[in-house]
Amino acid sequence: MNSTILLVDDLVLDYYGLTDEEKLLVTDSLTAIIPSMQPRKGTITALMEEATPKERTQYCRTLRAALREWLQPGADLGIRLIEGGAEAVLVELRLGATWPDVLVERGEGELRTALDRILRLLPQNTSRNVEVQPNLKVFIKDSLYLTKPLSRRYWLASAGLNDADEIAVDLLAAQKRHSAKGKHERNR
Amino acid sequence: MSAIGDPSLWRDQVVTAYDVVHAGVMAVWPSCRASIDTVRTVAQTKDATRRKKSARRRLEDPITRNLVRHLRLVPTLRGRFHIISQYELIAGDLTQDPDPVGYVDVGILFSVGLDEVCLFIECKRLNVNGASLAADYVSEGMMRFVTGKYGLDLPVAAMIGYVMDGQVPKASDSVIKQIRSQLAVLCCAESSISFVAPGQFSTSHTRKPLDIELRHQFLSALG
Repeated sequence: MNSTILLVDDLVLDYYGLTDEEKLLVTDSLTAIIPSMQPRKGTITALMEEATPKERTQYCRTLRAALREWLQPGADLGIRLIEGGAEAVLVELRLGATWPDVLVERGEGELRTALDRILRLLPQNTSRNVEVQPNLKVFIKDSLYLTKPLSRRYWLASAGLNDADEIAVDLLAAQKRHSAKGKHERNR
Repeated sequence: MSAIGDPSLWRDQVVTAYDVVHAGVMAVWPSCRASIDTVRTVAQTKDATRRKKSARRRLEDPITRNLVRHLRLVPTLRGRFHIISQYELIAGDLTQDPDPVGYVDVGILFSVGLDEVCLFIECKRLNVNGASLAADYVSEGMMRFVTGKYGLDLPVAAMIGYVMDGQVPKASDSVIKQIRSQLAVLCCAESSISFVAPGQFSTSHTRKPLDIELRHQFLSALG
Protein backbone atom coordinates (compact mmCIF):
# COMPACT_ATOMS: atom_id res chain seq x y z
CA MET A 1 0.00 0.00 0.00
CA ASN A 2 2.77 2.38 1.04
CA SER A 3 4.72 1.74 -2.15
CA THR A 4 1.57 2.39 -4.19
CA ILE A 5 1.11 5.72 -2.44
CA LEU A 6 4.73 6.62 -3.13
CA LEU A 7 4.25 5.69 -6.78
CA VAL A 8 1.11 7.82 -7.01
CA ASP A 9 2.94 10.68 -5.24
CA ASP A 10 5.64 10.50 -7.90
CA LEU A 11 3.09 10.59 -10.69
CA VAL A 12 1.36 13.60 -9.14
CA LEU A 13 4.66 15.45 -8.78
CA ASP A 14 5.46 14.64 -12.41
CA TYR A 15 2.01 15.78 -13.47
CA TYR A 16 2.73 19.23 -12.02
CA GLY A 17 6.07 19.35 -13.82
CA LEU A 18 8.18 19.64 -10.69
CA THR A 19 11.92 19.31 -11.01
CA ASP A 20 13.81 16.74 -8.91
CA GLU A 21 14.81 19.53 -6.54
CA GLU A 22 11.23 20.72 -6.11
CA LYS A 23 10.12 17.12 -5.49
CA LEU A 24 12.62 16.95 -2.62
CA LEU A 25 11.11 20.09 -1.09
CA VAL A 26 7.62 18.60 -1.20
CA THR A 27 8.77 15.24 0.14
CA ASP A 28 10.69 16.83 3.02
CA SER A 29 7.67 18.92 3.91
CA LEU A 30 5.41 15.87 4.01
CA THR A 31 7.75 13.48 5.78
CA ALA A 32 9.69 15.67 8.20
CA ILE A 33 8.51 19.26 8.47
CA ILE A 34 4.71 18.99 8.73
CA PRO A 35 4.82 16.09 11.26
CA SER A 36 7.10 18.25 13.44
CA MET A 37 4.90 21.33 13.44
CA GLN A 38 3.31 22.56 16.68
CA PRO A 39 4.70 19.78 18.90
CA ARG A 40 3.36 19.19 22.41
CA LYS A 41 5.49 20.46 25.26
CA GLY A 42 8.52 18.25 25.83
CA THR A 43 8.13 16.34 22.59
CA ILE A 44 11.28 15.65 20.63
CA THR A 45 10.22 15.99 17.04
CA ALA A 46 11.80 14.24 14.08
CA LEU A 47 13.52 17.47 13.10
CA MET A 48 15.13 17.81 16.52
CA GLU A 49 16.57 14.31 16.53
CA GLU A 50 20.10 13.62 15.41
CA ALA A 51 20.45 13.02 11.68
CA THR A 52 21.72 9.58 10.73
CA PRO A 53 25.02 9.16 8.85
CA LYS A 54 23.01 8.14 5.78
CA GLU A 55 20.97 11.36 5.93
CA ARG A 56 24.13 13.41 6.30
CA THR A 57 25.68 11.75 3.27
CA GLN A 58 22.50 12.29 1.28
CA TYR A 59 22.50 15.99 2.30
CA CYS A 60 26.05 16.27 0.98
CA ARG A 61 25.10 14.71 -2.36
CA THR A 62 22.19 17.12 -2.73
CA LEU A 63 24.30 20.12 -1.72
CA ARG A 64 27.07 19.28 -4.17
CA ALA A 65 24.71 18.59 -7.06
CA ALA A 66 22.79 21.83 -6.45
CA LEU A 67 25.93 23.94 -6.08
CA ARG A 68 27.48 22.47 -9.23
CA GLU A 69 24.67 24.04 -11.23
CA TRP A 70 25.96 27.43 -10.16
CA LEU A 71 29.55 26.76 -11.20
CA GLN A 72 31.12 27.21 -14.61
CA PRO A 73 30.70 24.10 -16.77
CA GLY A 74 33.46 21.61 -16.14
CA ALA A 75 34.40 22.93 -12.70
CA ASP A 76 35.12 20.05 -10.33
CA LEU A 77 33.69 20.11 -6.84
CA GLY A 78 34.44 17.64 -4.07
CA ILE A 79 32.64 17.29 -0.78
CA ARG A 80 33.67 15.68 2.47
CA LEU A 81 32.11 15.24 5.86
CA ILE A 82 34.39 15.63 8.85
CA GLU A 83 32.85 14.00 11.90
CA GLY A 84 34.50 13.65 15.25
CA GLY A 85 31.97 12.96 17.98
CA ALA A 86 31.53 16.66 18.75
CA GLU A 87 28.31 18.68 18.85
CA ALA A 88 28.77 19.67 15.24
CA VAL A 89 29.98 18.27 11.98
CA LEU A 90 31.99 20.05 9.33
CA VAL A 91 31.19 19.89 5.66
CA GLU A 92 34.02 20.83 3.35
CA LEU A 93 33.39 21.70 -0.27
CA ARG A 94 36.55 21.93 -2.30
CA LEU A 95 36.92 23.40 -5.77
CA GLY A 96 38.86 21.25 -8.20
CA ALA A 97 38.67 18.14 -5.99
CA THR A 98 37.72 14.98 -7.84
CA TRP A 99 36.82 12.93 -4.78
CA PRO A 100 34.46 10.12 -5.66
CA ASP A 101 31.02 10.62 -4.11
CA VAL A 102 31.03 11.94 -0.53
CA LEU A 103 34.23 11.52 1.43
CA VAL A 104 33.49 10.78 5.08
CA GLU A 105 36.26 11.25 7.61
CA ARG A 106 35.77 10.29 11.23
CA GLY A 107 38.31 11.30 13.82
CA GLU A 108 38.56 13.92 16.50
CA GLY A 109 41.99 15.07 15.31
CA GLU A 110 40.80 15.83 11.78
CA LEU A 111 37.75 17.72 13.05
CA ARG A 112 39.80 19.69 15.60
CA THR A 113 42.38 20.73 12.96
CA ALA A 114 39.69 21.91 10.58
CA LEU A 115 37.75 23.68 13.34
CA ASP A 116 40.91 25.47 14.48
CA ARG A 117 41.47 26.77 10.93
CA ILE A 118 37.94 28.12 10.93
CA LEU A 119 37.89 29.57 14.44
CA ARG A 120 41.09 31.51 13.72
CA LEU A 121 39.17 33.43 11.05
CA LEU A 122 36.22 34.35 13.26
CA PRO A 123 36.08 37.96 14.47
CA GLN A 124 37.12 38.31 18.12
CA ASN A 125 33.70 39.27 19.43
CA THR A 126 32.01 36.28 17.75
CA SER A 127 30.92 33.21 19.68
CA ARG A 128 33.05 30.09 19.19
CA ASN A 129 30.01 27.93 19.86
CA VAL A 130 28.95 26.56 16.49
CA GLU A 131 25.54 25.68 17.93
CA VAL A 132 24.99 29.43 18.35
CA GLN A 133 26.04 29.99 14.75
CA PRO A 134 24.65 27.06 12.85
CA ASN A 135 25.48 27.00 9.17
CA LEU A 136 28.48 29.26 9.43
CA LYS A 137 30.26 29.45 6.07
CA VAL A 138 33.99 29.94 5.96
CA PHE A 139 35.96 30.39 2.74
CA ILE A 140 39.61 29.36 3.00
CA LYS A 141 41.36 29.35 -0.39
CA ASP A 142 39.67 26.66 -2.53
CA SER A 143 37.72 25.23 0.41
CA LEU A 144 34.39 26.25 1.80
CA TYR A 145 33.57 24.93 5.24
CA LEU A 146 30.08 24.73 6.66
CA THR A 147 29.62 24.08 10.35
CA LYS A 148 26.47 22.12 11.00
CA PRO A 149 24.82 21.00 14.22
CA LEU A 150 23.65 17.41 14.33
CA SER A 151 19.87 18.01 14.40
CA ARG A 152 18.06 16.53 11.45
CA ARG A 153 16.62 19.86 10.32
CA TYR A 154 20.06 20.93 9.15
CA TRP A 155 20.50 17.75 7.11
CA LEU A 156 17.28 17.54 5.13
CA ALA A 157 17.62 17.43 1.37
CA SER A 158 15.73 20.73 1.29
CA ALA A 159 18.38 22.20 3.62
CA GLY A 160 20.99 21.09 1.07
CA LEU A 161 19.18 22.93 -1.70
CA ASN A 162 18.71 25.99 0.44
CA ASP A 163 22.36 26.01 1.52
CA ALA A 164 23.49 25.70 -2.11
CA ASP A 165 21.32 28.65 -3.12
CA GLU A 166 22.55 30.72 -0.18
CA ILE A 167 26.16 30.00 -1.08
CA ALA A 168 25.47 30.89 -4.71
CA VAL A 169 23.75 34.14 -3.76
CA ASP A 170 26.67 35.04 -1.48
CA LEU A 171 29.06 34.40 -4.37
CA LEU A 172 26.95 36.35 -6.86
CA ALA A 173 26.78 39.25 -4.42
CA ALA A 174 30.58 39.02 -3.96
CA GLN A 175 30.95 38.97 -7.74
CA LYS A 176 28.78 42.08 -8.05
CA ARG A 177 30.76 43.89 -5.31
CA HIS A 178 34.06 42.86 -6.90
CA SER A 179 32.99 43.99 -10.35
CA ALA A 180 31.67 47.29 -8.94
CA LYS A 181 34.90 47.83 -6.97
CA GLY A 182 37.01 47.28 -10.11
CA LYS A 183 34.95 49.79 -12.06
CA HIS A 184 35.03 52.27 -9.17
CA GLU A 185 38.83 52.07 -9.06
CA ARG A 186 39.14 52.58 -12.81
CA ASN A 187 36.97 55.71 -12.39
CA ARG A 188 39.25 57.34 -9.84
CA MET B 1 23.92 31.77 7.25
CA SER B 2 26.87 34.12 7.69
CA ALA B 3 29.99 33.90 5.55
CA ILE B 4 33.53 34.84 6.43
CA GLY B 5 36.89 34.48 4.72
CA ASP B 6 38.02 35.22 1.20
CA PRO B 7 35.67 33.83 -1.48
CA SER B 8 37.73 35.13 -4.44
CA LEU B 9 38.61 31.67 -5.85
CA TRP B 10 34.97 30.63 -5.61
CA ARG B 11 33.65 33.92 -6.91
CA ASP B 12 35.56 33.45 -10.16
CA GLN B 13 34.11 29.97 -10.68
CA VAL B 14 30.47 30.86 -10.28
CA VAL B 15 28.28 31.64 -13.25
CA THR B 16 26.96 35.19 -13.32
CA ALA B 17 23.33 36.15 -12.78
CA TYR B 18 23.39 37.46 -16.36
CA ASP B 19 24.54 34.06 -17.70
CA VAL B 20 21.73 32.24 -15.91
CA VAL B 21 19.06 34.73 -16.96
CA HIS B 22 20.37 34.96 -20.54
CA ALA B 23 20.24 31.16 -20.90
CA GLY B 24 16.66 31.29 -19.58
CA VAL B 25 15.66 34.00 -22.07
CA MET B 26 17.12 32.06 -24.99
CA ALA B 27 15.34 28.89 -23.84
CA VAL B 28 11.89 30.45 -23.55
CA TRP B 29 12.06 32.85 -26.49
CA PRO B 30 10.74 30.34 -29.09
CA SER B 31 7.56 29.93 -26.98
CA CYS B 32 7.21 33.71 -26.54
CA ARG B 33 7.76 34.19 -30.26
CA ALA B 34 5.09 31.59 -31.02
CA SER B 35 2.51 33.69 -29.17
CA ILE B 36 3.56 36.80 -31.13
CA ASP B 37 3.05 34.73 -34.30
CA THR B 38 -0.42 33.75 -33.11
CA VAL B 39 -1.19 37.41 -32.55
CA ARG B 40 -0.01 38.19 -36.08
CA THR B 41 -2.36 35.57 -37.49
CA VAL B 42 -5.22 37.10 -35.53
CA ALA B 43 -4.25 40.51 -36.90
CA GLN B 44 -5.14 39.28 -40.37
CA THR B 45 -8.76 38.48 -39.41
CA LYS B 46 -11.66 40.71 -40.32
CA ASP B 47 -12.81 41.02 -36.70
CA ALA B 48 -11.88 44.62 -35.82
CA THR B 49 -11.92 44.11 -32.04
CA ARG B 50 -9.63 41.11 -32.28
CA ARG B 51 -7.37 43.00 -34.68
CA LYS B 52 -7.15 45.93 -32.28
CA LYS B 53 -6.42 43.66 -29.35
CA SER B 54 -3.77 41.77 -31.29
CA ALA B 55 -2.10 45.02 -32.36
CA ARG B 56 -1.85 46.04 -28.69
CA ARG B 57 -0.27 42.71 -27.85
CA ARG B 58 2.47 43.31 -30.40
CA LEU B 59 3.63 46.31 -28.38
CA GLU B 60 6.77 46.21 -26.27
CA ASP B 61 5.19 45.86 -22.81
CA PRO B 62 2.90 42.91 -23.58
CA ILE B 63 5.79 41.06 -25.24
CA THR B 64 7.93 41.72 -22.16
CA ARG B 65 5.17 40.65 -19.77
CA ASN B 66 4.82 37.45 -21.75
CA LEU B 67 8.58 36.92 -21.57
CA VAL B 68 8.49 37.45 -17.79
CA ARG B 69 5.66 34.91 -17.46
CA HIS B 70 7.74 32.36 -19.32
CA LEU B 71 10.92 33.15 -17.37
CA ARG B 72 9.09 32.59 -14.08
CA LEU B 73 8.48 28.99 -15.13
CA VAL B 74 12.10 28.19 -15.99
CA PRO B 75 13.31 25.63 -13.42
CA THR B 76 16.77 27.20 -13.11
CA LEU B 77 15.27 30.64 -12.44
CA ARG B 78 12.02 30.14 -10.57
CA GLY B 79 13.48 29.06 -7.24
CA ARG B 80 16.37 31.47 -7.30
CA PHE B 81 15.20 34.82 -8.53
CA HIS B 82 12.18 37.05 -8.20
CA ILE B 83 11.42 38.18 -11.73
CA ILE B 84 9.45 41.40 -11.71
CA SER B 85 7.77 43.01 -14.67
CA GLN B 86 7.82 46.84 -14.72
CA TYR B 87 10.05 47.17 -11.65
CA GLU B 88 9.19 50.47 -9.99
CA LEU B 89 12.12 52.69 -9.01
CA ILE B 90 11.39 54.94 -6.04
CA ALA B 91 13.86 57.48 -4.66
CA GLY B 92 15.06 56.44 -1.20
CA ASP B 93 15.62 60.07 -0.17
CA LEU B 94 12.52 61.19 1.78
CA THR B 95 12.98 64.81 0.71
CA GLN B 96 12.47 63.83 -2.93
CA ASP B 97 9.24 63.42 -4.83
CA PRO B 98 7.57 60.09 -3.99
CA ASP B 99 6.61 59.58 -7.63
CA PRO B 100 8.53 56.73 -9.27
CA VAL B 101 11.80 57.67 -10.95
CA GLY B 102 10.89 55.17 -13.63
CA TYR B 103 9.92 51.62 -14.41
CA VAL B 104 12.52 49.15 -15.60
CA ASP B 105 11.00 46.54 -17.90
CA VAL B 106 12.36 43.56 -15.96
CA GLY B 107 13.92 43.48 -12.52
CA ILE B 108 15.72 40.31 -11.40
CA LEU B 109 16.17 40.00 -7.64
CA PHE B 110 17.85 37.28 -5.60
CA SER B 111 15.14 35.27 -3.89
CA VAL B 112 17.43 33.73 -1.28
CA GLY B 113 19.08 35.60 1.54
CA LEU B 114 19.18 39.04 0.02
CA ASP B 115 16.35 41.13 -1.31
CA GLU B 116 18.68 42.80 -3.75
CA VAL B 117 18.43 43.59 -7.44
CA CYS B 118 21.05 41.65 -9.36
CA LEU B 119 20.06 42.52 -12.92
CA PHE B 120 17.89 44.97 -14.79
CA ILE B 121 16.69 44.33 -18.34
CA GLU B 122 15.34 47.04 -20.60
CA CYS B 123 13.48 45.94 -23.71
CA LYS B 124 12.85 47.79 -26.96
CA ARG B 125 11.21 46.95 -30.26
CA LEU B 126 13.22 47.33 -33.46
CA ASN B 127 12.35 47.31 -37.16
CA VAL B 128 8.67 48.14 -36.71
CA ASN B 129 6.69 48.89 -39.88
CA GLY B 130 9.84 49.84 -41.76
CA ALA B 131 11.25 52.10 -39.03
CA SER B 132 14.45 50.86 -37.40
CA LEU B 133 13.75 52.58 -34.02
CA ALA B 134 17.50 52.32 -33.36
CA ALA B 135 17.56 55.94 -32.15
CA ASP B 136 14.87 55.14 -29.55
CA TYR B 137 16.79 52.04 -28.51
CA VAL B 138 19.74 54.28 -27.68
CA SER B 139 18.00 57.37 -26.30
CA GLU B 140 15.16 55.71 -24.41
CA GLY B 141 16.92 52.49 -23.53
CA MET B 142 20.68 52.60 -23.19
CA MET B 143 20.77 56.22 -22.04
CA ARG B 144 18.66 55.39 -18.99
CA PHE B 145 21.51 53.22 -17.74
CA VAL B 146 24.24 55.59 -18.90
CA THR B 147 22.70 58.55 -17.04
CA GLY B 148 22.26 56.41 -13.94
CA LYS B 149 18.50 56.73 -13.94
CA TYR B 150 18.42 52.93 -13.95
CA GLY B 151 20.86 50.66 -12.15
CA LEU B 152 23.22 53.26 -10.73
CA ASP B 153 24.83 50.63 -8.48
CA LEU B 154 24.86 47.84 -11.04
CA PRO B 155 28.05 47.02 -12.95
CA VAL B 156 26.16 45.03 -15.60
CA ALA B 157 22.70 45.43 -17.12
CA ALA B 158 20.95 43.92 -20.11
CA MET B 159 19.11 45.25 -23.15
CA ILE B 160 16.83 43.13 -25.28
CA GLY B 161 15.78 44.18 -28.77
CA TYR B 162 12.66 42.54 -30.18
CA VAL B 163 13.27 42.53 -33.91
CA MET B 164 9.72 42.66 -35.20
CA ASP B 165 10.49 41.92 -38.87
CA GLY B 166 12.92 39.14 -37.99
CA GLN B 167 15.91 40.82 -39.65
CA VAL B 168 18.31 40.58 -36.73
CA PRO B 169 21.55 41.47 -38.60
CA LYS B 170 19.89 44.56 -40.08
CA ALA B 171 18.58 45.66 -36.65
CA SER B 172 21.97 45.01 -35.10
CA ASP B 173 23.73 47.07 -37.79
CA SER B 174 21.31 49.99 -37.28
CA VAL B 175 21.83 50.03 -33.53
CA ILE B 176 25.62 49.73 -33.81
CA LYS B 177 25.60 52.58 -36.32
CA GLN B 178 23.50 54.65 -33.94
CA ILE B 179 25.82 53.85 -31.03
CA ARG B 180 28.90 54.79 -33.10
CA SER B 181 27.29 58.12 -34.00
CA GLN B 182 26.70 58.92 -30.32
CA LEU B 183 29.80 57.57 -28.61
CA ALA B 184 30.42 60.80 -26.68
CA VAL B 185 26.84 61.03 -25.39
CA LEU B 186 26.94 57.36 -24.46
CA CYS B 187 30.31 57.80 -22.70
CA CYS B 188 31.42 54.77 -24.66
CA ALA B 189 34.70 54.08 -26.43
CA GLU B 190 34.58 52.47 -29.86
CA SER B 191 36.97 49.80 -28.55
CA SER B 192 34.52 48.84 -25.81
CA ILE B 193 31.98 47.52 -28.32
CA SER B 194 32.47 43.80 -28.18
CA PHE B 195 30.73 41.36 -30.53
CA VAL B 196 29.81 38.00 -29.06
CA ALA B 197 27.57 36.39 -31.71
CA PRO B 198 25.17 37.58 -34.41
CA GLY B 199 22.66 39.82 -32.64
CA GLN B 200 24.62 39.72 -29.41
CA PHE B 201 27.20 42.29 -28.30
CA SER B 202 28.19 44.36 -25.30
CA THR B 203 29.11 48.00 -24.73
CA SER B 204 30.87 49.62 -21.78
CA HIS B 205 30.03 53.09 -20.52
CA THR B 206 31.92 55.32 -18.12
CA ARG B 207 29.68 56.67 -15.41
CA LYS B 208 30.04 58.20 -11.96
CA PRO B 209 30.42 56.62 -9.52
CA LEU B 210 30.32 53.28 -11.27
CA ASP B 211 30.88 52.25 -14.91
CA ILE B 212 28.35 49.97 -16.49
CA GLU B 213 28.52 47.25 -19.10
CA LEU B 214 25.40 46.75 -21.20
CA ARG B 215 24.85 43.32 -22.73
CA HIS B 216 22.64 43.44 -25.78
CA GLN B 217 20.64 40.56 -27.18
CA PHE B 218 18.44 40.93 -30.26
CA LEU B 219 15.64 38.41 -30.68
CA SER B 220 13.66 37.77 -33.83
CA ALA B 221 9.91 38.12 -33.37
CA LEU B 222 9.36 35.96 -36.43
CA GLY B 223 9.48 32.17 -36.28
